Amino acid sequence: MKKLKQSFTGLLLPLHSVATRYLARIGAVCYANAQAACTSFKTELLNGIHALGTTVVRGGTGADVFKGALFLASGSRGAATTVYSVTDEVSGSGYSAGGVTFTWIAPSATGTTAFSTPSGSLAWSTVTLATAFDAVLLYNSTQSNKAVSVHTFGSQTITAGNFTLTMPANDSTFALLRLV
Amino acid sequence: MPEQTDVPLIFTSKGNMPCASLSYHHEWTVTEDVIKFREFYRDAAGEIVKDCAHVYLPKGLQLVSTVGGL
Repeated sequence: MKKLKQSFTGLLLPLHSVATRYLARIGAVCYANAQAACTSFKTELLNGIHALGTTVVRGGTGADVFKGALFLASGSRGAATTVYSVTDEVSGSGYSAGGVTFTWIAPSATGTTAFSTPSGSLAWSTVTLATAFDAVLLYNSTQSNKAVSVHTFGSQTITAGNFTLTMPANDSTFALLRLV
Repeated sequence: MPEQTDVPLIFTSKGNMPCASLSYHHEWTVTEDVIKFREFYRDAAGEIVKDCAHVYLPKGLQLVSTVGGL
């Protein structure tokens, strides 16, 4: 009897596995838990809701102030950048150290991707930046100038002119920041 | 009243200069990551006296979340 039960179980489990895979393939509902980072968590991260550590204390509900600053092509801004500093930042007529202020489009999610993009172009008018630059650092000036991201765009200079950074479409495929 | 003749001026590294005295140039740079439009003006001596750039970032950064198993 025990051997019969063991062989019966040994037959059922593979059958269950095959059936589950088939049902998943044809799109049928399979009630099963799935390991994942919750999409709402990603959106909430962008909204500053979760504090996994103890370093941030929030008293208000307003969005932080973010800025974008330009950096020389000879600089080394990247993934290891933790905070804004004037080292390697561009300088010249019409350019204010620290860069320009911008706001983010309210974070949202499509599918399992949370995303956001600056609400408008970052623009510097009538500037002269004679030394080649190729990157913009986005940072949180409310939270001790903590770095957000670095975006590169090819080396150039500006002479008595305008420099404009136009943002991508704000969707789950192209947004400037996407948490997948 | 004396007749006034308006001369279109443009701001350059040498101050306001008549547009007619400058030559206008532009160039496009198109890559997978960046689309850049550059427009610049040269004076009669060939020196670039005004240089503007407009950059379009077609796609941003993707941060991939990974959840470990227990």
